[in-house]
Amino acid sequence: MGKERNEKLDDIYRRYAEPLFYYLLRMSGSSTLAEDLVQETFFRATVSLSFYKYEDVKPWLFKVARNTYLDEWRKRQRWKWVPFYDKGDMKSPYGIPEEEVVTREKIGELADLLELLPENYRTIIYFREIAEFSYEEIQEAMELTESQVKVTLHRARKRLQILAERESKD
Amino acid sequence: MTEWTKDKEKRILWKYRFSLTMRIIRVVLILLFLYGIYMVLLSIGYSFSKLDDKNSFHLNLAIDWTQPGLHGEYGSPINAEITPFLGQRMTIPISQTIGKEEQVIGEWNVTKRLLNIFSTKEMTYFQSSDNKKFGFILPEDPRTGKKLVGVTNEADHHEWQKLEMVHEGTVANLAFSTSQFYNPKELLKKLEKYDLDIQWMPLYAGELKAFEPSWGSTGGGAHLSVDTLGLSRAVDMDEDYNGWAEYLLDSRIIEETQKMMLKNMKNLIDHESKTYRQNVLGLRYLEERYEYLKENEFLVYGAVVTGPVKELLKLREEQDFRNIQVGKFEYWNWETE
Repeated sequence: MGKERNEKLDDIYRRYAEPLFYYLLRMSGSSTLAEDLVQETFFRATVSLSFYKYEDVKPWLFKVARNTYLDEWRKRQRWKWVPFYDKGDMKSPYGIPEEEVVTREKIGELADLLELLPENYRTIIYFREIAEFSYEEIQEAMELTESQVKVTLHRARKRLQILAERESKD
Repeated sequence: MTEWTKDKEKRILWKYRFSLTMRIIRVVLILLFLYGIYMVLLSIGYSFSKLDDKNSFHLNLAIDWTQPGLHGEYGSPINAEITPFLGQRMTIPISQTIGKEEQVIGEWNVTKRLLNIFSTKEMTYFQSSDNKKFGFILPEDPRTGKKLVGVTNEADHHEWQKLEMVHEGTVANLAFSTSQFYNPKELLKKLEKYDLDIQWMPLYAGELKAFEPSWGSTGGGAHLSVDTLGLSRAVDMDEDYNGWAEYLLDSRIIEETQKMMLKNMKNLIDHESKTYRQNVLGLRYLEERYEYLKENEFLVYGAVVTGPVKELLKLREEQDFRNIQVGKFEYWNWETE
């Protein structure tokens, strides 16, 4: 039983470690932090009993990864008043304020534009356009209904389009 | 640096496994630490509550009342501990006096759980030969008042013969039943002319008349025995269980002994639950027996005595004594007081 479980965990790890790393890299903006968040994601997945209820663990693992990223952000916000606590840069889940966008020069590609979006828009665009999730998988990973997925995705794309047009004018 | 490589995969996997192991170890250590703190606090609280002393006193009383010829050790420190689920484990030594020499022959291992219905008690003898309990037969059937005959003269003769055959330099204990009920003082006075110590007397407390305990009948109804309590030495324990006074089976103070027994019975009835009395102490029908003894006079129908074998042999002359059972022999240790 234990051996079978370990083999299953190893198999899942080898399959999903890489896509999770890229997702968390995109979310956090730091390779080192993304590595830590991947191992934290797998730790949480291991201790969670519901892990075995899922036929397809992909959306569930991404949901855990997203929560891990958000928890890390909240933790940093809680501790930022402590002197010398600074653990390096981490992208905010709230995106970058629009006033700052116009002053930035490096905006160009979709990947760069993503970091300007709030976390939920960033995640849904990433899931759909980069990780190629189906609508069902996005529903499960983000805990949204089908219509909420469609609405959120539409708004995220529209926002991205505005940012891209603004960038091309500049 | 931002590219996925095999090294990165291995590094994350190693970190994940290390972190998992460390967290498991941390949780186990925290749990062990909390458990240790909990048990230390619980043990300190248990010690201050004096629950161990109270239970020890009650168990020693139960030994004195239910084990013919055996007695508890009020002075010995009790081996008691509290379990994580608030149960108590206690070991109570049981002693026997043959002649003048007291010896610990076994122990009661008692596990008292939070719900007394699940409590258990086990008696362990250090030598299997000590696993022999004296029995007594009633002089009459309490339901009909009909006189009951004793065991055959041959059976009694066989027991007396044991005493005849051993050297006079030995001591022993012996139990007998009587063919009529006696007032304890009366029986003690009857035995005063012998150089013996009286240890225990089966007490009639309304069995088969006021209530029906477990009972057995042999010889076609000629011998009737019931589950009984005994009149033994009585102990007056102070409230904080630090000191006590002992009342022996002596005709001069027997009234005090009887009063003290009633007081201890009343204390158990008033302050302890029925399940505790029955499951932990093994005292059945205590309330009924108390009520009967309070309303009626104390009556006994036998005794366990100890002394030099040739002195015990003199009891043969007593026509009322029957159902003789010789117990254990020891080398001479007698001192005439």
